[in-house]
Amino acid sequence: MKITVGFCRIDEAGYFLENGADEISCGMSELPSFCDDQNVPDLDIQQVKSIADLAHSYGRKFFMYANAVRPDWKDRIPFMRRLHEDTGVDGFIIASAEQAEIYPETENPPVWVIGILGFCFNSSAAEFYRSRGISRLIIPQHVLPEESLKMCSIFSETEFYYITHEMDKNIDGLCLGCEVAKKEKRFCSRGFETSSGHVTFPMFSLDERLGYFYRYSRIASFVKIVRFGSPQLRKLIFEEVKALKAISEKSSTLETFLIEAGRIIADVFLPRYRKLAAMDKNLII
Amino acid sequence: MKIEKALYISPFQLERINHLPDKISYVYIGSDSCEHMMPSPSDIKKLMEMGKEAVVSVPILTDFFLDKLCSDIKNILEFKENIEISVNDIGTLVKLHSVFGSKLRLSVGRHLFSLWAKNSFSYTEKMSHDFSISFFEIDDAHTADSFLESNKFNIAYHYPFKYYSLTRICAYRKGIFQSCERICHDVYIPLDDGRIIWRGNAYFTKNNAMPRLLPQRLIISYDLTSYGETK
Repeated sequence: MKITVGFCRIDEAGYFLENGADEISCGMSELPSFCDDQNVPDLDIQQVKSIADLAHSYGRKFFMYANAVRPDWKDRIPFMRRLHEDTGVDGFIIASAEQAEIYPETENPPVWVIGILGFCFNSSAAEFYRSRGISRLIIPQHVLPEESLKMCSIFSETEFYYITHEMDKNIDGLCLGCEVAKKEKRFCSRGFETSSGHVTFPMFSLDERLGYFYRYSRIASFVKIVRFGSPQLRKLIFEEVKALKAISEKSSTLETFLIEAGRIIADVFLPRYRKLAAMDKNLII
Repeated sequence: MKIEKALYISPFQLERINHLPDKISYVYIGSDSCEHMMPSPSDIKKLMEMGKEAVVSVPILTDFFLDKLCSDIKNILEFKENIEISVNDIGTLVKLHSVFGSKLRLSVGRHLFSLWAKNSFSYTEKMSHDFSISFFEIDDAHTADSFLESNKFNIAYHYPFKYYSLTRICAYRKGIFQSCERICHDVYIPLDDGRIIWRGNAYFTKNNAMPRLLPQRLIISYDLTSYGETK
């Protein structure tokens, strides 16, 4: 299993590559993506080329997000082609098969990665996307490792989300909560008072999330770190993923992984998250 | 133009119902949010005995549940030809189309439609043609109008509730499971002074808007409101 990291600021690309990321990705304003604006770096074509060159100098790949579902993708395809052919962007994370279908036929097409908004929850959907030239899948967070086996066998590469600290409680793309609430607290982070008491949105326990990591580390090609939070938080999550990956590789059973992973999170990472949280009230631990 | 009137009900509700009004022609049976609420062939038989045309509503499905659905459909087709299935993910649509072809009528449920509606119009038209889509389900009046104006699609409009949010993590059992005893009893709980209705894996809000143009079918959310209110 390799690590693919989404970055939000241009200076982070070099940091992640230098520190062992197997692949990097980001968005840019000309390519609408499913992400808060603050997490999209302000890039021009020349800067995109510099990042691609840097990634390639490490023998790594550089992907760009183009995963906002919009009716006007046809107009953006020439720009995507320019990014791929002139700057060396290796591929695109997309939301709909239409994007890959309308890209002109070429000898050197980009790698197409179908993101979570493709709602690829079963092997039949996987076959559909593969038949449209899409070679990599980002597995939706709400698909359990055991449920993904047939899907994963269809794609040459797959990515699963690192959900230990930040998990989408609702299915991405099917929650109006954040969209409607705008500046309110995220809908899924809220709790509600009912006649039976205070209720919150259900989520996997920490053990379940660690188990998810361990089981997917044996199935998927990449663990995916999303574009999220502050630069310090992203670096901390990256360190944690590297540590858990190392533990996973030497663990022969889920139980031994959980013991060691739980220990390192409690002793090493949680104190650092707490320190960050004291500075950032929006941080979810 | 005459609007087809439909009720959306859960298998739990069907257990308690023996009669439905004559003006209701179609009954959506199942759930577009929970895999464990898919209807059984006997539910379809019961609706046929009540003189209603059943539409099987299914949520986003993983492989395990998609295989189960295919098996159930084979059983249903033994006593009911050309049944309509409302699907909510592209994989289910592709599989049912390839396995059953014209033996079924396929409709696009509101979750799958929420994705398609954001593609180009021509792409939606092409997919609609490729998969011989009977209906597109929508619960947003503005979106419904934009598709109704084209006069190219049959629209089934959900009223008086619309989706707000959806998860696969069961609120009762705090996880994702392949089997279920339906301990939730499919009850719904008002939250936020009734602004949000929470039922199982899904959250709804009141849908007070109707499209400006008449949809071909109106689906009344009987699963989320009392019979008296929808009558």
